[in-house]
This record gives sequence, C-alpha cells and structure tokens, in this order.
Amino acid sequence: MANPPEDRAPGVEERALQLPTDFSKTPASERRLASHAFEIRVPDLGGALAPDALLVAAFGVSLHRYNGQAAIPLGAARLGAPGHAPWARSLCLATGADATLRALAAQAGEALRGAAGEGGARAANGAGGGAAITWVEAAGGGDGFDALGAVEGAPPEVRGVDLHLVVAGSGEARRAAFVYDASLFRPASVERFAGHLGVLLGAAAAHADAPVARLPLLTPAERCWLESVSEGPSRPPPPEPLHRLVERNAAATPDAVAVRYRDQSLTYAELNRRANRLARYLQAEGAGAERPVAVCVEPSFDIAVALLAVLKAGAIYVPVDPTYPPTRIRDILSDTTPKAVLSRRHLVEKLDLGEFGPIALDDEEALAGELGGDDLGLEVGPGQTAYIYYTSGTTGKPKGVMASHANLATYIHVARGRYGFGPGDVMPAIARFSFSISMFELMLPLAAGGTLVVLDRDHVLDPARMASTLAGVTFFHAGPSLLKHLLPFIKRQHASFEAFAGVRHASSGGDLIAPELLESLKEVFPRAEVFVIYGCSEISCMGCTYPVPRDRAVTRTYVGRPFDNVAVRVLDAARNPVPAGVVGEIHFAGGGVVKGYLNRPDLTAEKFVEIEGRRFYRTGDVGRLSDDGWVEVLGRNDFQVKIRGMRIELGEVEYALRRAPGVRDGVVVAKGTADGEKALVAYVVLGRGEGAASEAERRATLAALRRHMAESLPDYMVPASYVELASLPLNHNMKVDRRALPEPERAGEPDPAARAPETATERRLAEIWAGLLGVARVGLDDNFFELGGHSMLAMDFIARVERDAGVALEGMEVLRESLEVLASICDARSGKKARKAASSAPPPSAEGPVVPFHFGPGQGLYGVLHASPVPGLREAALVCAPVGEEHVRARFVLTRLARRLAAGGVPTLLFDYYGFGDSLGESGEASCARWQRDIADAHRELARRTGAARVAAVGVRLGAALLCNAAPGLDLARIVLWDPVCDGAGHYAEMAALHAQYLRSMQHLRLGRPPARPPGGGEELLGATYSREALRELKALAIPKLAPDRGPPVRWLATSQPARQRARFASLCGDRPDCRLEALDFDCSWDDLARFEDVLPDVGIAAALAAMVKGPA
Amino acid sequence: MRESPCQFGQYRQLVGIVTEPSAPPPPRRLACVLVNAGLVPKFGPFRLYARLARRLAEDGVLTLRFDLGGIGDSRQEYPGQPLHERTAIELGAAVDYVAGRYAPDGVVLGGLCSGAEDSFRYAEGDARVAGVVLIDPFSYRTEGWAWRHLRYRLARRSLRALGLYEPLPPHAASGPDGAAKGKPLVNYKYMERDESGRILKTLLARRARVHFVYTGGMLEHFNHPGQLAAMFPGVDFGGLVTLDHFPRTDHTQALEEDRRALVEAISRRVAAACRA
Repeated sequence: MANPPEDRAPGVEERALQLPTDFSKTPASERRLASHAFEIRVPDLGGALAPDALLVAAFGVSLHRYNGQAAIPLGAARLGAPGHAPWARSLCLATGADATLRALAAQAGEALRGAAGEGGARAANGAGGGAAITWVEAAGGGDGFDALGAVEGAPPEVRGVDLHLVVAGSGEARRAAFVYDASLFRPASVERFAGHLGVLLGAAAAHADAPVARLPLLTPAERCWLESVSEGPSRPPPPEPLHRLVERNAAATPDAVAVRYRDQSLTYAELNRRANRLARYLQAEGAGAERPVAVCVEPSFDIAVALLAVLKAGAIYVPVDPTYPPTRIRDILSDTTPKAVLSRRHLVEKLDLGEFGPIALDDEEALAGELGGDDLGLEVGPGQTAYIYYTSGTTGKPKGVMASHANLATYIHVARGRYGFGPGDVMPAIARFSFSISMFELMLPLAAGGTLVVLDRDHVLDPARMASTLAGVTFFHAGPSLLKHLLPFIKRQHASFEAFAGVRHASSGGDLIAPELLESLKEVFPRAEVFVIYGCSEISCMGCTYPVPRDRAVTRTYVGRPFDNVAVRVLDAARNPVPAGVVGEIHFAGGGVVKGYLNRPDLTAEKFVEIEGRRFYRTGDVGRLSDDGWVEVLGRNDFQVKIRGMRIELGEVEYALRRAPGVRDGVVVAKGTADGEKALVAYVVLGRGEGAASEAERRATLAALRRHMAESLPDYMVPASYVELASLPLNHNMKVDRRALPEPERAGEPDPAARAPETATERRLAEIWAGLLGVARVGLDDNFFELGGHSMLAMDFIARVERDAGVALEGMEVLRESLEVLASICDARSGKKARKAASSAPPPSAEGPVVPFHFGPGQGLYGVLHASPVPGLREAALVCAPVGEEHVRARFVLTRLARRLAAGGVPTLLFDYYGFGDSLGESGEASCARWQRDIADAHRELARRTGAARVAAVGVRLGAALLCNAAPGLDLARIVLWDPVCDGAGHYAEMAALHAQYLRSMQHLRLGRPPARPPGGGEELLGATYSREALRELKALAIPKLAPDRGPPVRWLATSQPARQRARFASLCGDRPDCRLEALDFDCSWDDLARFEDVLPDVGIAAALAAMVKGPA
Repeated sequence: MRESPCQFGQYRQLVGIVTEPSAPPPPRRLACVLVNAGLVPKFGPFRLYARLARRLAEDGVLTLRFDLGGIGDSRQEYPGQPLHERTAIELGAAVDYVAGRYAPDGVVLGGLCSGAEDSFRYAEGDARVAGVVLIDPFSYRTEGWAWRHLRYRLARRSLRALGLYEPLPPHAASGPDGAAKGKPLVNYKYMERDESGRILKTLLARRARVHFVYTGGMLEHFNHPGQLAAMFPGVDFGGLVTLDHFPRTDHTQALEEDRRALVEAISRRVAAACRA
C-alpha cells in the first residue's frame, strides 16, 4: 500500500514542531511517560466544526500560540474499534496570520475523513518527538480510562511523540489525557495545556471566525496569577527631582565624603558648591530645559560635578565616552547638537570638539569662580528631559534614549527602595559612564548620602586593584564579563574571603549570567545579598531583580520579578500574554519607561507600544515566566546581541563594515568562542576592482579593514575575526542566509615572514593566545590586541600567565608589547632575569649587532649598520631616509625595517644626510647634489662593510627622489619607494605652505614678530634651513621615468594619497611589467602640520617594505 | 671638536655620540649627558641636542647624547623591567660610561620634556650628578598662573579675531576621504608634584644645581618666572635653582633663532656651573 502525500495546506512549509518544554531534550534525556487526565467539552457546532475536527484545530491552535509557528505538524491516529480498522497519519495545519478556528477545523476534518476512508496505518510525524492526537474507544464510565495504555497500543507512527493528546468517547463531554515525556515537561505545564485546550474549545462557538491570534487561551485563574506576578509593588512616585536629594544631603551632612577618586575626596558641601557654580555657568552659556549638554570626561571628580551641574541647570545630561572613536563622538554630538560640551582641554584638542562649544573643566575655577555656590532652586518639571544615553543602533548610527527627570527619580528611587542603600554605604562606579547603568552607580550613593568611588578604566580592568577596592565598599554592581575574570582571581589570591565581609550588596546584570557565577559571588562575598538586575536604558535599567538564594545552590538564572512601579509582560507576536513556561518577548511598563529616542519618532513608535491603555517598551529580549513567577531571559529576538554584556546591534557593525575601503559586502554574526563567550565574526566580500588582487594587496586590505573597524566603532563592537568570502550565501528569498555562513577558520593567516615562538615561555604564551583568540598561528612579533584580543580576554590572559608561571603581567604591557617581549618579561620576572643579568654574553637576540660609525668625506656622515646574524650573505639594503623633519617622523618605522631585514639575513644601513641627524654640518650648508653624493657614499660604505653582491635601496619621500636620481651610478638590485616625492617643486610648495601655517599658529607667542631670514638668500622650512642652491635644485628635482628595458625593478608603497600615487606610478613605471605598486590604507599624513612632531607608528609599513625588499622580482 | 659614536650598556645595546671639545677644559670639568625627548633620536628635536653638544664643546665641555633602549639606534633590553626602571638602568649606564672613560668632576644630565623628567628622576639616586637641565619639564598651575592665563587667552582670542593667529587643526582620526590616520605613539604624562618636590629637595640637599627652562609651549601650565617658586612653596632654592623663560618660543624650538637662543642660554648656565 502506497503512502499518500501528507495532508498539508498548500504553501505551508513544515518545520519540526517546537514544544514549550520545561527541560531541554538532549541525547542523554531518558524518556519517562506520564499522564494528566482531564475532562473536556467538545461542542458539535456542525459543518466544518465537527467535534473531532474542532478538537484537532483547537489542539493545533494551542500549540501555535505556544511557538508561533505558521505550520503545526501533528500526528493523528484512531485505535481499533469494532468494525473499524485503526489508522494513523500526519497532518499539518496552516496557522498563519489569517487562520481561523473554522478554517483549521475544515483542514483537519478533510484529513481525518481521508484517513478514515483509506483505513490502515499511514506514516505520521510523531515517531521521534512532536505532538499527536489519538482517539480511543470509551472504556466505560468512571476512571477506567487508561491513557498510558492507549498510547502503548497506538500505532508506532504516533507512539513516540513527546506530547500526546488521547481522547476517549464521542459525545460533547469526553475524557482526555495528555501523555507526555516527563523528562521534558513539568506536570504543572501539562495541566496548563489542558486548561488552554478547554478555553479554546469553549470559545469556539463565539470566535470560530476570529483570527487564531485573538482567541482566548488563558484560564481565569492563570490570568489572575499572571497579573499578580507581573506587577511590581505600587509606591508613590518620587516627589522631586533627584538632584534635590543631593542638595539635601549637602545641607544635612556637608562634611560627609560624597566622592572618592584615587586618594582624594570631595565632600557633599564641596561637590554641591562646585556643581552649583558650574550649573550657573552653564545657564549663562544658554543651557536650560530641553537643551543638551554633553559631558565628555575621563574618570575623575569631573563626572560627578558635571552630571549634577547639568541636572541642576535643568539641561539634558549627555555622557560621551572620550575613548570612543571620533566619528562616533561626532555622530552623537551631531545628533544632540549640545549647547556645550563639558570636557578637559586635552580631550577637546584630541577629539576635535571645537565646533561643539567645548567648556574645559581645567578652567572650572576660573570659569565659575565668581558665581555663587548656593543651590539654584530651579524649577524642574517631571517630564523635562534629564539625560540621553546612546546605545547601539540598527541603522549604523547610535540612538539616543531620552529619559525624563521623573524617569531618573524613579530609577534611583526604586533601586534604593529595593536594596536599601544608606548614608554609610560606599559604592564604586564600575560601568563606563556612557552606559545607562552607570547612573545607578553614580546617583544612588549621592542621592542616599553615601559615598561614590570613581575608578579609572585601567583600575577596573586590573583584578588586583579591583579586589582591593571591593574590600573597601559595601555595595557594588558589575557585569558578568568582569566578574567572570575577577572572581576566579580573588579566589586564587585569597585563602579566606573575610576581607570582603563588608560588602552587603553584590549585583550583576546586563547579560546572561551563568549560575556558577552567582555561586561564586555568594562565596566571595559571604555577607552580601546577591542580586541579578535586569533592565535596559529604555526602562531606566530597573526592570526586574532576582534575589539569589543563599540557602540552596543556583541551578538556573532568573532575572526575578519587577521592581516597584514596574510592570513586566511576556507577550507573543500578537501581544497576548503567554502562559508560564512559554517563550515570548519581554515588555515593560511603569515609571521608568523613557520618553523615546531622540530624533527617531519612527523607532520610538515601533518600540514603545500601547497595550491595554499602558505604554510598554518592547525589549527585544525573549524570555518566559517560571511556575514561581520569576522571569527568565533566554536571548534576543532580533539582530541585537550581547557580547560581554554590551548590547550590540549587528546592523551598526555591518554598516561600518560595508563602508570600509575595499569591502564590497559583508555581514556580522555572533559566534561562540573557545572560552565559552561570544565574539563577533565579520564575513566580507572584498572589492576586486579590475584584475585579481595580489596576496599582499588582499592582506593589506584586510589589515586596513581591521583598522577601519577599530577606528569606527567602540572596542566592544569591533569584530574579533574576519572571514573573506567570494560571495555571501543567499536563501531562496535572496536574503543573506546567515545559517549558511561558514565557521570562522581557527587557523590564522600564515605569515611567511612571521618568526615562530621558540622558547618554552614563548610557546606557552602563544598557546594561550591561540586558545583565547581562536587563532592557530601566533608569531613572536604579534600583538595580542592586533590579533583580535580585547580587554576582558587580556585579563584572562594575565590570569592564566599568573597561574601558569606565577608572573603578574600588567595590562599596558599586554597592550603594547609583542609576544616575544612578553615572554621575556615572564622569564625575567620568574627568576630567569638573574641568569640573564649575570651573563656577560650578548643578549639572546635574533638581531645581529648594531654598528654605528662615521664615514664619507671628512668622515662627516653618520650611519648605523644593522648587521645580520646570518653568515655568508649576498644581499644588503640601503635606506635613504626623508630629508628634514620627515626624517624624524619616519625614523621609528625605518629602524624597525632595518631590524626586520637584518634578522631576515639582509644587513641594512641607515644613515643621516650631511647637515641632518647625527651627521656633521648644518642643513643650510647642504644641497640636493650633496645628498645624492651622500647616497652614493653610503652605498659604497655598505658594500665595503658587508661584501654584499647585491644591494637593494629603499627611498622615502624626498629620499626616494634623491635615490632615483642617484641610482644610475649605483648597481642596485631593486629600488623600493615609500610615498616618493615625484616633483620637487610641488614638494617645496607644500613645505612652504606648511611652514607658513606653522608661523601663523605661532603668532600668539611671537605676537607678529617675523622670524629672522637665513643669511645668503636661503629659506627656513619646517625646522631646517635650505640654501639658495638647495632650493634651486629641489625645485628642479623629479623622479625620472623608468627606461622600459633597463634598470632595477621598482616596488612602490603608497601610504598617502593613493590615487595620486597610482597615477604617478603609471606615468613613471607603467611601461615596466616588473614594477608594482601596493597601497596600505594608512594615511601617513605628511601634509598634516598637526602631525609635524609625531613619530609615525609602524602599522605594518615596515613589514610591507621588508617584503618588497626581499620579495620575488 | 670631535664626534665619535660609542656603544655601552651591559650588552652594548645603547648607542650614543660623544662630542669631545678641542677647547681647554674649564676649571670644573663637568660632562653633559643628554636624554631623548620622547621618541626623537639622540640628535634631538630639530637637532637641538646635536647643536647643544657642539656648542658646549666650544666651552670645553664634553657631551654624550645617546638613545634610550627602543629609541633611535639603541636596542631595547630589560623588557622585564617597568619603563622607569629600564630608563634608570640605561641612564646609569650612560653616566658610568662617561664617568669611567672621561673622569669628569661631575655630570650634568639634561633633556627636553620626558628627557628632562628622566634626567631629574635619575639624578635623585646618583650623587655623581652635579646638576640637571630641565627643558619644559613638569609644571603646576598656581593662582598667579590662572590670572595671567586669562590675559593670555584674551590676547590669543583677539589675535584670532584679527586673523593674525590660527591654531593648528587638531589631530583627526580620519582624513576627508575617510582614510585612517595614525595616532601618536606617546601620550606623555608629566610627573606629579609630590614626586618632583621630593626629588628637588633631595638634589638641593646635596648641593646639585637645577636649571629649568620653560618655553611658550608650556603656557598652558607655566607662564611666569615667578611661578617656579610658587610651585614649590616652602622649598629653599638656596641659590642652586635657576630659570630661563622663553615664552615666545614653542616647545620644540622649530625656528632656528629660537634654537640658537636656547642653546646659548643653556651653554651660559653650564659654563657658569663649570666656574662655580
């Protein structure tokens, strides 16, 4: 007998049925059948709504309401009865948005009729999970209904389902039972399922044609219970704005310490006085109601003074993290258009805040010195905007969450009411000021008359210092990512935790928290009440809180119940409350729900919705209620993810990714990492342009991409790894199929030039990095952060090194040093230092000796040869540096180039032109002809000292032009040019313009006094003097066009003005197939006078140049 | 005058240049050691150190200018040590080299910015250091500074309004084309007053001379010669502390005439010390 096609409504795509299980199904789950018997009334409504069909439809609707699936697959069977053959089959109900009970019953009726008519057993879907319904013959009255036995006797096709509705009898009142796998469901849940079925059947007559999403589901008792656990206790709203409480504290306890920072304290009186004066100054500057004032400060007293001042002035506090990339800061400031930016002078300069009305708090005394320090007494309305916090946004721009003074007062009021913070309490500010949870840490202590402890960021990230800090506080809140590193450290370092007995409140939140972490919190802080706090900026952070029980082990992390004056709802897609145990989206209402998003009415309307006359915020988090009424958060329902507690819109990261130079398309996903955390992975399709990119170009593009992302996004939003794809996988809707994206390769890109770890310490450190960062190869020159590390992983790394080697590395060392240097530090600190220090032998360096010497006519030139440790060399390299100040800028990179080449077997000579650097003479005595002779002398000296048969030369900027002109007289194997000056006249004009700009910038010092002219008609340009002859030669200098058939090949590295350089390369080297240009996406900014004195960092430039010197012809 | 490169330090990892005078030595044979300013190699900002060494040689004073580990031509060693300790070891090696090879009557350490503070910090623990020359080192705002600064700001604003002064554009994270630019490698943080006050007292107690030079580049922190005494109230300078103030020059003396004036001023102070 052939199986007929399954009964599935047209266009319905069947997926496995998702049941609202209480426990996860794992391979280890042991199936244990249990049953729950109940009575149901199945009305006979006639037509399509025949009883059995209606029963199937109602069962299907209940399942749909649990999981939201648009197709509900079900098994159905009828056990044998006298005169009837048993049958079993599968069907699939189309429970889409337009489905009604009547339509579903019609689908079911048709399927059932077909099944009964055909007779015999047919395939059903229930062999391995899912749900089924089975009819059995009534076994007489009383309790003789044996549902378990019936399931045992059911056809094998439906016997193995997880949730089996067994129905006996044929009249309206029937006996029924759910037979279920007790390893998956709690009895209470199944009991609720029975109640839901009854409600749906009871509503069938009245609502047969209503969309299934609007059918009632919950029993009256369930509704009553939900209401009782979803509403926080009602308290009178706070009567006044928060800063009034601080003023009251200042009046009552003026000498009490309000803020501590490092070893300094600020009393309430002083804090209030400074804030009042600054508030008056802000008022005078035009700050007031609904006018934002940005606060861009580093941790210090500034944050408390500025925050209070802005609130007192009635303006809007907008915290801006000065560590954010300047583009993000500008986005925020452009969005808020602040009346002023409170900051420090060095930040104003660094972040280019000039156009936003910066007020430097360095001058606080001078600015507000004459203004009164008494309270302003300004009337502030509860609906007036108090602050705007920026969170990650889907459109690529951060979005500003606007909260009122009433929101703020509620925020702190409910927290204080719940946790009981008092005047004797001390609380550290651990969160970044740009996150809204920081308001909890800043304002709770100040409003309650306690002490706020402000911490530097490196302090927070240093486990030892944090442990010491926590031993001196009574309250603290920290994200799970921080605790995950901090608590193990404390446990390792402390035999007893008595030092932390003063902590009476320890809370965490902001991300999913593992139960083990809560157990650790209980252990380390033995006298603390431990809480989970759940919320977000849009509801003023205080949504739910869970008191972690001390009398039993935590096995599941809940976020608890709502705070006072807060309502929480777990709703399905149609905004119906879902039953306990069923997953829905978490919504909040109450006094903390903020005004909305700044300049984003569309988004505000989308996220803040009215339900039953109350304004709710849709969190985007999915969760459920436990049988005890605790809210449990399970994750996100959109593309928002949390990485180390930071909420990230993947759309914003993707926006930055797609704007990166060389990237054609890209997506970002969060993936699990080896250490159990999540990390962002960027999948990119690189733009190829015309022709295939070389491997070097591809790698340079990827390197540039990393830099672009690092400079475009906050550190926590920068992807940890990048995967290059030829194209993004698409699904049948032509959308990116994220599930089809490959796992990121654990193997890093092999770098043929990379030096492999050798010593035991180096290998061990490399092994730790590989595990933490998910890369297979780590070279001696690699830097932890450049390989994708972040501060939390750095803490983990430091902890592991300490555990393995007993060596405490510092965060700055991990940030700055290479693997090789870190290994040396470990060796030195673990006792090998003594051995090394006692040795008189040369250090175990991969580099050869460095030999400084004078040479040339009259021995007036200074050079330093980076000799190679490799014997029998045939190649050497000569570096022709820029002339003048550019020489100093490039020197760091060129020295690294020389070391790299020497270590790789190419001895390299760096030298100073006559009149520059450490050579003799004055710049004004030299000329281009003299510098070209210097190059020839250096070439000769290099050949003499090394005996090399082949010499490659590197020319940089003007040094490149000089080299190219000197080259015909030299026997060079290769010429490498880095941002060459092709046109001396243009270079002179550029220098002259920059020098004039420099002089203008000096006028506030020189007060119009012109600089003295050099004697003899020369000219002073950017710190060097050029003789008349030198200027004449310079203006005539140009790189000659390469002959098509002779001369050494040229490699050209562009790190500024790539388009212009490509054009020049084409005109000078275009006829030579053996010449090549590569561009690094790092702008050396030779023409930026603000960088006049900056030393160029080596961002891969030395490696690129070295590859050009040594690479194949 | 004769210049010769040298290498010293435990592993000969430090590279320097000794400028030996051909002029007869002064009554008190002091030798100078110049310490890197930031990451600028041993010739100094706009060759200030090279010029100074050659000028001092005219007065018979020998000078060693050298690169600290990791800067210029010197290789970084002692990675297991924090930076300050590493610098102290290397400065000690430089003083050892000069003292051992040329046997001066005393050593004068000096430098600009970080070089000044490195010199000052090292001098505290080495009695061979007879004096320090500190160009734009730490400075602390005082009440007087604040009043003068208001006037200065007013003048600067007026100049700007008149179009006579235009500050340099601040560093941008990206150019107009969105291309990324680099960040400064070093963000220098000056010494705290507690530390500088302690060192100053130590040096004065052993009769070492301390010469301060402040340029206009420090006006945001130092704007009057009288500020020096106010920065260290209660410290008796005892005639051992001197100061040259160049409010019209910038921090690195990019102009030839500024460098020349600075070199002359310092050489005069060193010459005076050599006569004392």
